[in-house]
Amino acid sequence: MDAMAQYDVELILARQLAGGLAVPVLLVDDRGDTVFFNEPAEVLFGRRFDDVNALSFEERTSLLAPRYADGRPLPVTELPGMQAMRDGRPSHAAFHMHGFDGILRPVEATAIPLESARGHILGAFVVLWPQDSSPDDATTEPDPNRTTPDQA
Amino acid sequence: MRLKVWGSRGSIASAGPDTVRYGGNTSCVSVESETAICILDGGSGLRKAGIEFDGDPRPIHLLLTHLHMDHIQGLGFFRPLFEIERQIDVWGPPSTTQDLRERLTRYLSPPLFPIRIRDFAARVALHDSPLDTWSVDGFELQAATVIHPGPTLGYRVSAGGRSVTYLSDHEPALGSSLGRAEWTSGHALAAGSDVLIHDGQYTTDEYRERVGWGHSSVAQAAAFADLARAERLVLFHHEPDHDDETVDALLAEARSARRMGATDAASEGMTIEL
Repeated sequence: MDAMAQYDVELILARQLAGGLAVPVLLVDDRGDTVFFNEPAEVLFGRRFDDVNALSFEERTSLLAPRYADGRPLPVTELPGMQAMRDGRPSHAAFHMHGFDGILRPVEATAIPLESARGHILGAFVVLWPQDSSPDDATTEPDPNRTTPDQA
Repeated sequence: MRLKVWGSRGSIASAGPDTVRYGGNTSCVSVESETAICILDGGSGLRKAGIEFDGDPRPIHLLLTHLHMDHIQGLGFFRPLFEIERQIDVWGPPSTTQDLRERLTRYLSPPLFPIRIRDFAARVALHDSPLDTWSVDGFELQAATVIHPGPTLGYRVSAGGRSVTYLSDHEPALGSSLGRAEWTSGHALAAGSDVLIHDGQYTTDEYRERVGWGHSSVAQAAAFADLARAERLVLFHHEPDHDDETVDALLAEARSARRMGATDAASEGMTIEL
């Protein structure tokens, strides 16, 4: 984003709302790039937002490596944020994802599209709920097939 | 361009001996070029602007930030609207539910007002502002949604390489502190403006009691002007309960708070040549 640019006011207000909530929230723009996540999401992702700042869609999906419970990769088109923006309606999914700390966690996510007064989809507001991990669900072993933050 | 303030007060007109110097009329500012007239908001100050521009052959573009009463109550008293065949373009914030005519008609119809929009003699064209940049009669106009209750716009009016940004009702500090430009409402609109007319309704203490009401303290207005690197800040939308001495004190506070550029407080009749 260049020095003169500014996020749409709807995204600014969404960020302010997210910043005041106790549930993990991820805010993505119309391209799917992560433009903000709040403090509860920092716990889930294993990294502070200020250390990451904006994160492209490709970086995020590579780093977090979302997958089904059986280990199959979750297609990026099935991510709730992308579905919500594509369909213009709320979307929900349960999946596993890595934090930046390499830990695989089961989560559920609900995304709502952010539509402006002009009728443009500006992004999505994604609320994440960490699920209880069973021994089969979670591992602290880094996934050898996953890109590490340093590689992204 | 020539800028003139016709109404500098916020919320409700407050004429009286305590507000003589800064004025009691609500929001209205004109920006003229040789070829056209832009009028920012139609508060009670619009009545006197209408006397000034009555019979003027230049096209008029009336730019409404939002439809609260202190920004539209002068419409029914604007003389050019009663000039036969006069072309007047009115621009306002878009809505997903009703067009501008329907929303303005809520006020400009009985029982709130005796005259309807269709009764105006002028040819009145109502437009949803594009939320982008567009050109009219030698002006480049830009509109953007800003933080304030309900659909609300800020405008930037440019001509001949000079620019005026008008953010009459704006609360960029809502829920956050002013810090990073890309996360600050109104920044892209105001960046590098020669003149920034900005909401400065409250003292710092008053703002603490009125968070979310859609307005700024003078300290926030000064911080926003610095962030936007505006050359000249004009404090606007004065609190109706503030007398002239209070506005003097707030102006002094804003001047000492700014790190760059000039600062003034809008007063009725104030003109700025650009």
